[in-house]
Amino acid sequence: MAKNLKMKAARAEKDMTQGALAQAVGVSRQTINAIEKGEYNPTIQLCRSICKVLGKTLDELFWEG
Amino acid sequence: MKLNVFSKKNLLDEMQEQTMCKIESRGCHVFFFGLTAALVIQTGMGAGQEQILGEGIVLVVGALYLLVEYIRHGLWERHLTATAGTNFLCAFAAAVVVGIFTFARNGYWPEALCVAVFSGLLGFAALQWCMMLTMKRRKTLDEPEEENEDE
Repeated sequence: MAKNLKMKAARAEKDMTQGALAQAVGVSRQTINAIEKGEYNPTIQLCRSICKVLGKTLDELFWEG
Repeated sequence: MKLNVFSKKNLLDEMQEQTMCKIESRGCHVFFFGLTAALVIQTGMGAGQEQILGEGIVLVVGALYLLVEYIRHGLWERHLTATAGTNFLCAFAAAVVVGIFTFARNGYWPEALCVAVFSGLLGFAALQWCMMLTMKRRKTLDEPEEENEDE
């Protein structure tokens, strides 16, 4: 699975650490780290929570066009 | 001092939960095949029925639980196709193992052959029956009535 650089960039835009994003969406930092590294495929619920917190759409963060 | 030992809420997130399920699944396989190996070794060394009764009950209860749950959810094998040919090959392999084991223990080949043949037939029949139940259940699960969009 490819790295999710869009999510990393969106998080950096919001000036959030992995820990802060993890806390905001209610998961562990290792889960956010694994998603960004492309090691874990999150559920749609978690994708939506991440999008809400980062102010992006699902397409913007998770669509590989 | 307040002790927070137990929480009804799952303290793991979805990735941790999946990882834990994988670990538990592997652990289950280790216990299952370890117990089977222990029973085979004990029997091979001449242990009596009363000596292996406990392990036997645990193994049978565990196997029945897995079997019932697989059938209930319409799940067969990950890699093997659900066909009579596959079941025959699996039953044949099991029969060969049982035959060799019986011959190694008792050293009397006609008995080993009979045990192998009947084990193979029984295994094949059991696999076919379980496969039939699983496929029937899968068909039921695949055909739920679609929700009415107007409701």
